Amino acid sequence: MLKNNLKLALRVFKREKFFTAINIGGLAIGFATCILLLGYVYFEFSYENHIENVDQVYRVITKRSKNEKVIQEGTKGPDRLAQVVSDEVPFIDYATRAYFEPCLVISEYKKYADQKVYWVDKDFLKIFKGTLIAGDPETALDGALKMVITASKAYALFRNENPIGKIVKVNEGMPFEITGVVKDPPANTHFKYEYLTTLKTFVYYNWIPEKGNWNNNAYYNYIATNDTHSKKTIEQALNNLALSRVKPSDNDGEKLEFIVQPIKDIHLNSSYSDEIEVNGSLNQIYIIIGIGVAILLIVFINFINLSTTLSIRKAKDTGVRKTFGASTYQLKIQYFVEAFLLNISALLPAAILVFMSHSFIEETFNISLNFSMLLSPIFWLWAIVIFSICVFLVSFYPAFVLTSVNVTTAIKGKIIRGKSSNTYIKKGLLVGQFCASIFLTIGAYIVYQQVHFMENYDLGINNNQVLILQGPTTLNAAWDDYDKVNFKTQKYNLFKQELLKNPALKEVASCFNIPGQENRFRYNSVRLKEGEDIQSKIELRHVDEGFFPVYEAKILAGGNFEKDEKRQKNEIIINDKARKLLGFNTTKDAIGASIILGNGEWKIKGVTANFHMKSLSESILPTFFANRHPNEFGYYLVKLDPKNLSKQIAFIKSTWEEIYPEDPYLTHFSDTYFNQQYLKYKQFGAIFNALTILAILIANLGLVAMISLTTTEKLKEISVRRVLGANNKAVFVLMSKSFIKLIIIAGCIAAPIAWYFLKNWLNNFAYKIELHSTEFIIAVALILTIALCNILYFVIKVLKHNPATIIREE
Amino acid sequence: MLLQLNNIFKWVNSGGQRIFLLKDINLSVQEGEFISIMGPSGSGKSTLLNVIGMLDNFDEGEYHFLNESVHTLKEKHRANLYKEYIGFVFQSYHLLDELTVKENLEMPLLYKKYKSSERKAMVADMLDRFNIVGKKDLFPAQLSGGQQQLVGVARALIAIPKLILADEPTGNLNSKQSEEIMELFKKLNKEGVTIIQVTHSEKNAAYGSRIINLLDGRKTS
Repeated sequence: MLKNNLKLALRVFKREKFFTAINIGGLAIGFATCILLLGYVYFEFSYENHIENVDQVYRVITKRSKNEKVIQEGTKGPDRLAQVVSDEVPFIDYATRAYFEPCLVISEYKKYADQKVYWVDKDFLKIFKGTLIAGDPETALDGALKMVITASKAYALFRNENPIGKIVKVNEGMPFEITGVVKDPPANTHFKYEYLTTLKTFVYYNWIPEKGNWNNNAYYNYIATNDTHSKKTIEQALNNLALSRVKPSDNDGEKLEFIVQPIKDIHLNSSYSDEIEVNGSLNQIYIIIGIGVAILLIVFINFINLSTTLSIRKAKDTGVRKTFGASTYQLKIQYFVEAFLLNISALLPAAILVFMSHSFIEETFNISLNFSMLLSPIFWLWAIVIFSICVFLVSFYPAFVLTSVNVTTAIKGKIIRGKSSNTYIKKGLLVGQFCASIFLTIGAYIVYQQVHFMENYDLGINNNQVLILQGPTTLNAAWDDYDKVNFKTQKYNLFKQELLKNPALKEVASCFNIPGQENRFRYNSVRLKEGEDIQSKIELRHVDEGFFPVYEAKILAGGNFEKDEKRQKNEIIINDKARKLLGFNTTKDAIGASIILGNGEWKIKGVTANFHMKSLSESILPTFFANRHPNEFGYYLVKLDPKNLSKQIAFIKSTWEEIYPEDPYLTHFSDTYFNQQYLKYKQFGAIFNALTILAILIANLGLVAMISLTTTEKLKEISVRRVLGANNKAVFVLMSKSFIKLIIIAGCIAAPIAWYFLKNWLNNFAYKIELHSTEFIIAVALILTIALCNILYFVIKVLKHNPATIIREE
Repeated sequence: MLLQLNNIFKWVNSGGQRIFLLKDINLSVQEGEFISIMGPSGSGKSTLLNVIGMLDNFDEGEYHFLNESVHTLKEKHRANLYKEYIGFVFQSYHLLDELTVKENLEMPLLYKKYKSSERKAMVADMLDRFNIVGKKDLFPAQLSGGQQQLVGVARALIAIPKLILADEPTGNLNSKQSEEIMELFKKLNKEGVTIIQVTHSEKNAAYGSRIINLLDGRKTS
């Protein structure tokens, strides 16, 4: 029986080549898309899986509040916590701090700048368990000047020699002994270190005291528990500890609290300040999953509509079979076999599509796909169950329509004009499909516009043609080591002087952090010299007098810093937000006022306009600019002339190598760097666009098939009308009327839903576009135009026939 | 007695009026009879045939088929009854386009509980009997009308029915082909198969042992 069913199904496919091709084609594209999306989603959810006992590892978020007002909440916290927590809380086994610094690393043969060096405690390797491949986890990080490096860095620095026991020099020449090698952190971890070294080294050099304190925010903190505990239990234990060590009454009313994050939650579910890398967003993943489901729906609706319509064409067969004794049950089985065969045969081209396109897709959208779930039997079990349920569900309705035909009418060969309920369902499904297409089109358009808007927004500074040079790391100095800082500054002045000899180079500046980068210095309060503390998030940026001209930032009142060694120490320039925060009514009022920020007293020298130093998803903070040369790291900025860029860059390079022979020449352009902040959104937009185009394509495949079927059904009606005098326009109207109506209904349903969701999505951005009705109308018009083009094609085909012959044929 | 119809009425309601398709039909058929139903278009010939074949319901009256009271049976039992005892032959053959001759013949058997080997034997037997062994792998579209109807009759016979119902079996055929089919029916009838056919042609009707004339749903003779 089954063999028979299969054979018959294949013959039906052969007879209905066009529709089978459309059906399988649509299903294949849909399945391929879903498999690719599954790979993407699986990757995004597979973060940190390389760590053993990953469920017992947490990151600690530090939250400080005063009078119930949160003044700091971020991934960085105090250094005392990790030192005591494993002794004080019984179920916490290990804790480590991690301090990040991009460093210069020098081996015997090689020199690498801007390396990801993390300064950690000795238990790090027990928390990030299973990563060490050479060395002793007990001792590898237990003292000063010890270093563990990743396998690929070991190869880069020492080639095939055994790295253990070798010495590398860091920054100004600290000698580190390699005591271990760890696996390279995979792409799916938030914490991509290249070198691990010890915070004991800081103590050894006397840069920090051995015993940490509770009031700084410089370290990432990770803990590992002895078993899985609820988040609440751990937080309670940590907060009790904090309360016992830092009493708000003794600490100026400031309350210290902790939030723990399971390490697996970090990638998709964390957006505190000072994240190690730009994290993914669970919302975006959900949106993408939603689009995937929508595509699957569109594909299946195609399938249902096509099969239902085709099954009516098979009504005669069904009638005959029934008179020869087939029961509805047997006919349904035949139908399900056909449906399964069709869906399964779509899987093969889908798999081929995935196989051929996955690397292209990874590159184009800059995403990683992970198909390792294919190795798990449980995945297959689920896949088979879900696939079968889907196929069963989508073939249920056509099977029902097919088998419910009335025998006597069917064998009389009358085409059954679907019963009214039948057409309602078909129309409903089409409306659903149009809804999805319209919704996605609106969404794609808005996402694109928002990204475009952010990239082209007037930041208030001009990022173009600003070349950024990584400062000389070999000259790093502690902030209070005045002689060393002075030496660095003088060298910089010489460098600047040499550069400006080239007439094409207009401005040169130095700063600690560049636009688009996380700023290093932050405060929670400021006050006028004779005033109360004002609580707010505040940024302090170290720049010099060249900074504002390089970026063409407007100074509203007062003036720029002056190049005078004596005056610079206590002058400060503020932005307009800071002016407002301090309570000055006009920019002029602020000039000359004295303020207390941190431990210092400052005199306001100028007020700048509010300009963006971070992405538009964040609002501008009250910012204070101090005239300081960066004591460590830092960046030097050069404004280039748009003409002859390569010549200028070559000149800068040779000048750099002359003055800083010890330091590598590392540059990038400010605008490219700044726009990297939008990569995440651009990537999202690109995926969204691609999926939308696919969805429209698949929906259209179905539409073409539907129109083709209705055309055949209506061929006689149209011919009769034409013989009776209907012109071409009337034929077009006759054929497109019902589809236009459906699209307009779909537009009315999809638009408000799209409006609601997009409004929500736009709330992620501090600066965003407005939603206009035009975008919605354009989307509906687009879908309508595409549908009408399809209809037009078939109308022309119909018009080519001579109506007389069609009528005679009947 | 194979079947008996007592006072069968069938009607449709149209615009508040009752239009009778069959009106007070009484008919009894003995095994081995060859009956021709005649009458002008719309006189209810096909309706009567469908009622006898249990494909159509009637509104009033009694129908006994082999001691079963069809009018009291449920849909499912009725279907079992006609599946077992009745074979159909259609004017436009109604062979399944995507099945070969052999498979068309096998189709009715698939819906009954025959083993694969039994089915093969029965099909082979039937092909032999109708002299169409050479055509067993052809599709209906590759056959002439007469050959198609030959297959149609073979298909009706394959499950060994007691009764064959033929609705204008030669309506689409030329006179030579018609004659062949009617001769076939005659031969089958002699072998003991009961046949009821609907026909327009006096000549074809003459093959039968009895003629029933219908006019406006009423039996006139």
